Amino acid sequence: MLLGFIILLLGAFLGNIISSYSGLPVPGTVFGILLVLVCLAIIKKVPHSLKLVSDGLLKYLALFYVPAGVGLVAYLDLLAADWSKILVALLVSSVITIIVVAMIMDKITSIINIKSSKNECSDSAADSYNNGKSV
Amino acid sequence: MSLEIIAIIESPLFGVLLTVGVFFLSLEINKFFKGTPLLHPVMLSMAIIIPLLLWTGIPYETYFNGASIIHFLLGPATVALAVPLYENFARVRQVFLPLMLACIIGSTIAATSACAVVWGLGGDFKTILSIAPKSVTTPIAMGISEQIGGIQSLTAGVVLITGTIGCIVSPVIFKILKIRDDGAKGFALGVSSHGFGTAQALQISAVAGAFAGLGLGVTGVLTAFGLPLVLSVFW
Repeated sequence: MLLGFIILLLGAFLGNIISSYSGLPVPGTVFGILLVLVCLAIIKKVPHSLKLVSDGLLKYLALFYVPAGVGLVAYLDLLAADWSKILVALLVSSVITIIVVAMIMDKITSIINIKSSKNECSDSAADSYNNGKSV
Repeated sequence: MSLEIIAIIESPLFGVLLTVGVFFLSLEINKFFKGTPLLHPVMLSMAIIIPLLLWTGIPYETYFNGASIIHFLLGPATVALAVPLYENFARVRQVFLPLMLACIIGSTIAATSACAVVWGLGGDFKTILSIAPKSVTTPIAMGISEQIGGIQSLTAGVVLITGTIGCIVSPVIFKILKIRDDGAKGFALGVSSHGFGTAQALQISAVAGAFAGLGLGVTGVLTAFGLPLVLSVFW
């Protein structure tokens, strides 16, 4: 389990280094995800210890957002000035964005599902889909 | 306040205990109301801790002294998204191009619709610029805001609210539109509500989590490069 945690910390660490030296407006964690993803693709399996730690961390991902969320307290004055306009804008745009993206994705997957059921192939993609559902 | 109490509040234990304790309580409240999205655990925790800090007069810095330990785990936990992403790679690869298309359309709509509404309601120009990167994960959003001339702190606040709104409205939207595909749900959550949405998607399934993580990353990168470019064309 310790090894898994080290892999994640190392990913975040190296990601931060890449982020600051590349000068790209991409945070270190995004590079970190890519780094770990590439490593997993090379060794072609998820080490048991990494699986344990990431499952545990991701289960409580929402918790880790609470301190940043409480940070909103520092911006209350700023938000107060235009709060009704901002709230309406955020609500409207969130609803539209979710509707559009979910509908595009849903259409695409239904087309792909029809195609694959026509070919009667239970390919690896469909399998991993079903496995994922049960997790 | 006596010196002993101040010392206790200033120790990291206070922030950690308050955060984890209130989050646990929020999960229980959410469970009691049968998991209603209106009482999202993160929003509920914020709604309990923020008034508590304001009422007691404890500065955010003092709270964050301990809460930063929880906050720190956000880094490795985000990197951990590589695992569900790898495990569902076959499925992601199958829909990769449409995924990118959905992401480009989604992130464009997210930014423009929010700006348009604020502009339509007669909002301040600075507010419009600050609200543009609202669907992007906080570190990227603050960078973009600075680059295009918005108010960084306002952007940070707006990003947090966007994440919370996405978690609240998405289950209702999925129900009305009869969206059953977990990949679609996850990706929509990741594109519209960054990390908050990803955390929510992981509660649906690992597939949803993988797609949300991908949505979060691609939206962030696309907006970071696209938004300053689009603005430089118009201004």
